[in-house]
Amino acid sequence: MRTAMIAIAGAVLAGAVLAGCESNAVSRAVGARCDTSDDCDERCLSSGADYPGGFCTVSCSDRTDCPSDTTCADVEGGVCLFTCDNDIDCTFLGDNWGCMAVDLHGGGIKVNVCRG
Amino acid sequence: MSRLIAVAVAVVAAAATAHAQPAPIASAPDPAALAPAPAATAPPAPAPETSPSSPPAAPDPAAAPPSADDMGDQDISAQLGLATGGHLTPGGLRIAGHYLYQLSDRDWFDGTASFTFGSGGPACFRDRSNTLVCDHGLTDGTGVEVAASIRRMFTPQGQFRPYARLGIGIGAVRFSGDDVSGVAIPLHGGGGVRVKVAPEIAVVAEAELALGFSNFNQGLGSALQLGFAITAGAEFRLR
Repeated sequence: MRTAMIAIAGAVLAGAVLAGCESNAVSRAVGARCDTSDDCDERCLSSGADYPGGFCTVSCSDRTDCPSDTTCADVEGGVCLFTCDNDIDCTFLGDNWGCMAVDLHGGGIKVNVCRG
Repeated sequence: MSRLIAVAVAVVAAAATAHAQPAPIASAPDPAALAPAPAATAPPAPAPETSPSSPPAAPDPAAAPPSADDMGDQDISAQLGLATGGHLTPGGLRIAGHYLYQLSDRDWFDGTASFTFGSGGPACFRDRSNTLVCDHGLTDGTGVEVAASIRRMFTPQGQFRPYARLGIGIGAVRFSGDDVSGVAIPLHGGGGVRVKVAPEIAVVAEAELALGFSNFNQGLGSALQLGFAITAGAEFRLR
């Protein structure tokens, strides 16, 4: 009986560890590369000078609509972009991405976000 | 890969060997079979006299093998439960059928066919280095698998009889929302408890951990398989 209980407890613990695994910073919601919206949860900002490689994002009306580490930039009608303090913060998005100030959508202030 | 195949072959070989040598039936020993054979040159021995003062020893119930109490030589089981996966391991509703064949007093071969039905939404994306990454939820994907295991039954604890199970399987995995498919070879380890509710029917509940690897299309290549499942169902004695 004790052996069986230990085996079950071990299995439960391993399951909990599995459930706690974290994914990387970018996701289908915000940050993944894309060509079309099918590559994203909601919409794809096509690859170009502003979004090199394409950029998956979600529409927003204010910053509370955005996932953590992103804010609602007043571009493309209001989309979530990664916040930053300097260009180094944006290197995880690839070459030609930098940190620049844009209007906060619905906020009337400037915010620093990663863009191409 | 070759090591896992070797383990699978060993499990099947063990099952086949046990099949060829059925487990002894728990019963009183046959005195004729235990008596030494008379020597060819020895004179005929007188017939043994039965002494009323020394009756044959009754079998000790505590020494009886656990297999004699409720499980048959062959059982089948149907179970229903929940499996959790994540990333590239399917999870969701788990339906499993088991065929049990007795190998020894405490061990049964457990052949299993299981199906996992999870949601089918897309969860793969290309990260910034253009590598496809799949981050499925705990109950996403579908899977079908056959597995060969050894189930060891432990000493009953009142009405409950615990057991442990260890085996290996091979299966197909699919995440339809991303058009991702693969083949998985997981090892299974777990345990459960069996409760007899009728002469030939028992209720079983078990938990298991599956750990192995898989190979997927879409350039995903090899991936870890790590899942957990809790199931319960009924077990029927065939003979």
